[in-house]
Amino acid sequence: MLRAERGWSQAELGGRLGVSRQAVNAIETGKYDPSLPLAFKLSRLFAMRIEEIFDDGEDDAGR
Amino acid sequence: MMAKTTQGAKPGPGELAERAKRRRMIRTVASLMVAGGVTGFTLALTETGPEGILNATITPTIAIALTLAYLVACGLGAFFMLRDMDEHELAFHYWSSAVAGSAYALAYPAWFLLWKGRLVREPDHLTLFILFIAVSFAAYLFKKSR
Repeated sequence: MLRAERGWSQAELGGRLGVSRQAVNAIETGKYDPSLPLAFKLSRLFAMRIEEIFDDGEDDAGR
Repeated sequence: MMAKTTQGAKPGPGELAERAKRRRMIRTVASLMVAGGVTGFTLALTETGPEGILNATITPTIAIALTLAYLVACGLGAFFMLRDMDEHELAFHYWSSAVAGSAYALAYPAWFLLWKGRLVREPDHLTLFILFIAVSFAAYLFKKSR
């Protein structure tokens, strides 16, 4: 997990993103899909592309 | 699998920012509760005439003062809450408001039609307002607990 790799708690990541610990937990457990601006914030924070952070469940082989 | 706390003793800048935001939110909610309590207490103290919130009256000065206090508290409360509310929490509020709005849209016409048939008493705004708030609160808690 990207967050754990950096040794961050959910609250730490939430604070860096400007959202609550509960929001981070909901995103990690798949209960909440972040907005595009929040996804871009995550992308910048982890220096990764959005599609490297999130899995939309679609199979590339089927496209 | 998921680390719950920051590795290391000192909280990081994100954790401090998250805590500060949570404290501000608690302060805002507490202030609104105090304002609501003071308003209700003042209303109860200054009511005259027959018993009951719908029947008793207050002086025009008190009425204007309480109305202004309510509007200012709602305005400031909304400003401070929205400042510290994230999109996840906001989504809960949108959802619970939509559920409460739907409950109102169902309840009022149904009550109105039953009243037209002389089956129930005339719809009253206070009951509908309480219904809206209660449904909104229940929907919020339901969504939050999942």
